[in-house]
Formats: sequence, structure tokens, C-alpha cells
Amino acid sequence: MAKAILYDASKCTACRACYVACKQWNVLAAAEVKELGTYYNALTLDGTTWNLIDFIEKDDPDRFRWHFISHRCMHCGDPSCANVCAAGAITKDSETGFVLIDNDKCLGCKNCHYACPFWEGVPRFRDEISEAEEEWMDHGNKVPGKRVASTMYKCRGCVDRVKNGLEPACVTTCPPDALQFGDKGEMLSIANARVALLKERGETKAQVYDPKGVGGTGVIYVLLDDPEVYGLPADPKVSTADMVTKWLTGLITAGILTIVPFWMVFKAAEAEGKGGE
Amino acid sequence: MHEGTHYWHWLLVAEMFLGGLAGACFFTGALADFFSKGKLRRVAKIGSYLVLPSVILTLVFLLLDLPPSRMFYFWHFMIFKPLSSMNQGVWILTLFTMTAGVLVPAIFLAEDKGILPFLKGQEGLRKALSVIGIIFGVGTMGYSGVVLADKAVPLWSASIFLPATWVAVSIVSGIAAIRLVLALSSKKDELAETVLSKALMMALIVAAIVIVVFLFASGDHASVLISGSYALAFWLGVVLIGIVAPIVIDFAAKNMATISSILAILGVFLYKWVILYGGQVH
Repeated sequence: MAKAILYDASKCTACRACYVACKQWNVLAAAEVKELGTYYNALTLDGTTWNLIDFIEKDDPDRFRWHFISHRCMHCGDPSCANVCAAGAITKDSETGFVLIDNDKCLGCKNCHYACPFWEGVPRFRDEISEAEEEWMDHGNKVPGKRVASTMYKCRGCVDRVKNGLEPACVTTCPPDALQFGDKGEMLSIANARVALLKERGETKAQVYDPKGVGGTGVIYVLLDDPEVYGLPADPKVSTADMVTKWLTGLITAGILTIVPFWMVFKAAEAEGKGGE
Repeated sequence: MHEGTHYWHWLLVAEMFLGGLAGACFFTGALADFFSKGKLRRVAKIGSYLVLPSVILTLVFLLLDLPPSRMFYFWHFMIFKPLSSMNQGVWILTLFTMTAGVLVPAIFLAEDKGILPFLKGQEGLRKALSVIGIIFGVGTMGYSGVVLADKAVPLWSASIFLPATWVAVSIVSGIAAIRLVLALSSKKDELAETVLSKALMMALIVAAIVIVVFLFASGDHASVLISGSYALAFWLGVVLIGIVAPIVIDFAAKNMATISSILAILGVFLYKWVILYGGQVH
């Protein structure tokens, strides 16, 4: 049965323990930080940052609100990144539903990055493997995933932990239980119950985010406001869904819009009865 | 706040431009030959001779666009994955190269230079291969447009018409390239030049119409080209230099085929450039 990580924005305190746990479990180097006068540490997802907490300031008519959201791979039910990958390097794990990159197959073309509708493209490129990762692989460690320089990286859902009966590292570490993990149906029930409670408490815009346009997601959010407030697309689609139609516009352009004038122009040359060779 | 990424650069523009050029050169030449019942055979020859160099350069840019440590694993793309437009492109380009880039030019070379004499006069085979080449030529022009259009990047994917513009502008580049070769050749061919100048004008008008449809259908996402950071490159480079100038030059003066063709080709390159870069503006 497909698994899911539930992130409850109404419980998150933005402590970023999830971010640290992810780096620690996955042997990922710390991100270079910039002092911006804000709480940001990692500014964006990248090859060594597979989740981060975004801080959103919203000036509602009645009050000022501070929203938190976890940027991470959404582990789509129908992942665009896997659909577009020309090398077949991205697959959906049949047991957990997590979307995984095989870095041995990946060519670093970045096609997957542009296909992803979330967080400005979740899979990110990394040019180098750190000494810590080299050392860790030298010791024969195969989990969590082989590291290959100049390929794409993103959250693996700690699939190695999950298959050994553990939760993803971010979930295990989350102090306020804003992150939970389990079968998707169970996570959806918890999310729906939470949203009902939040609505009772006056959070009228509380909602579950599990967009159907991408076949549902393996990361479910409980949000306190509309998805767009958090930088999430309201109705994301599988990017390859209308590929055939798009191909057809190109074929029609060549087949009708061009061939007819070509026929008129080139046919006239026949009548000239000269030229050629 | 978060920062966007900008991974795809001019190497990909060059790859998409040259691939489109290769497809369009063959498409134009072969159709000219068919529709004129052989009167424009030289156009078909030049078109087919331009395919292989363009495809080789396309592949060079494709490899250079991969990270240096991964480029020699390019054969990872040689799997069959029909849902991936990039994978479709790999196979389309392979089949196009075999037919339009190698076999058809080989038959022409047998006629022109006497090499591979067993191919000389194989008109039935050439015509059959040309039909296949035309089909894969359209695929070669279109696939890189589909590669962009099946992404989650609004400028590339909000409307369904990006691949239409890709094909339309590629055809402009193909006609202009053949015309340029003819203009620079010592052996003049007035009929071919007259016909190609008309074809280029029509192709430019078709491209302009398709681009307008694409911009309208893209709505606000096209503002980066119309009034945003790539507006100057679009209006000056694509519209004025690439579309208006060649039409005006060809209307106003004869014997300006070289400059008119170069401007049209430049406009096509710039169009693919503004689309690739404009789409990545966050």
C-alpha cells in the first residue's frame, strides 16, 4: 500500500529539525547560509538540501499571520519527472510509492527539474560528491542511495528506513508531530479530521492538499490558507498530460499551414519548365 | 523567499536551432522536388547535404550540454520510453539521420560525384526514403518544442502552441539556409532563388501568425516577451530583424538573398533563445 508523509502546517513551529535530520541521515553537507535578517537558512532546495522550511508573511485584513511550509519532493502519484526522464532513471517504488532517482542512470540533463510543478522544480543538480559521502560509500554503504557526481538529487522518502520498519528521518525527529507517516489512507483520515477541527476553531480556509491533477501526492499537507499563499499550485497537472495535443499543433503547422503554400509556390516552378539541373 | 534555478543555457538553444534546421532543410528540399516534379532537384540536393553537418553539430551541442563527467554515458538515452518527449527525440533524430542525413544524400552523391555507383539512379528508393525523411524531419523540428512544452514552466507549457511555433520557425531557417547556400554558390539558379524567396516570405508570414496565436494563448505568461525582460530581444531581434526585415528586403530589392536569409536565420535562433531564457525568468 502506498505510504504518505503528512505535514501539518498548523502544528509546525519551523524549528527545522526535519531539515537537520534529513541532512544527517542522508550524509548531506550543510548549506552555505547567508545573513538576510530573516529566519531563512537554506534559501532553496538544491542537490544537498532535500527539504527546507519556508517562512511566509501574510497580511490578512484582521491580523498579520506567519505561515510555515515544508518544501520537499511531493512524491506524486503520477510523477512528471519520471515521465519525462529520457534515461529511465526515475521510478516509482512499487512498495512505498516514493519517487526515486537512480543516480547511476541519471545523465544530469535537468529535464526532470523543469517538469516538476512543485517548488520551482524539486530535482536539483549537484556537481560534486562530498568527502563524507565518498568515505561513507567506501565503507560499502549502499543506503540511502548511491551518490554520483553531476546528477540530479531530491528526497528519497528515506525509503531504506521505511523498508526496515522505520519512519523517514524528518518524521522521527519532528518535535511537535507536525510530520507523521503511514499508509496514505490513514494519513488522509488524520488530515481530514485535523482540518475539521481547525475549521471548528475558526480556521475557515483550512484544507487538505493532495492534488488530484498529479494523481495525488505522497506528501499530504494540512494548510491554514489557500495553496497559493504557500507557493503551491492550486491545481497542478502532470506535465506530459497534453503532450499529444502539443505534438499535433506542430504536425498541423507542418502538414497544413506550410504544405499548402509550399505546394502553391513549388508547383509554379514546374510550370516554368526550366531551371533545376 | 526562494531562488529559482537557471540550468538550461545557450548550448540547448544551439541544439534546438540546429536540429530544427536539419529537419527543415530536408523537409523544404524534398517537398520542393516533389511538388515541382523534379524541377527543383538542386534544392532537394542542397537541403539533404545540409542535414548531416547540422545533425552532427546538434549532437555535439547535445553532448556538451550534459555535464562533462556524464556526457559519455549518453547511451543511457537509447532506451525505448515513448512517454518521454526527449526519448522520442532521440529516436526521431536517429531515424531522421539514417534516412535524410545519410541514405538520401548518398544517392545524390552517387549521381553528382560518382561514389557508391550502385546507388546511382535509385529514384524509387530515394523518393521512398524522402517521404520517410519528410515525416521524421517534421519530428526533428517539433520534438525539442515538445520537450519544452511538456514542462511545468508557464511560458513553455501554458498554451499548446509552442511546438507549432517551433516547427514554423524551423521551416523559415531551412528555406533561408538553402537559399543562402544557393546565393553563395558560383552556379546561379534563378528559378530556385525566385521560388525560395517566395517560400521564405510565406513561411515568415505563417511563423508570424503562429507566434501571435501562441502569445495570445499564453496570456500573462507571455508578458516576459511582450513587455518584460526579454521584450527588447523579442521585438527587435525576432520581430524586426528576423521577420519584418527579410520580408521588406525581399519586397524592396532583388539580389539581396544573402542578407535576407541571414536575418531570417538569426531571427529563428533568437526566437528559440528568448523562449528558452524567457521561460526561466522567475
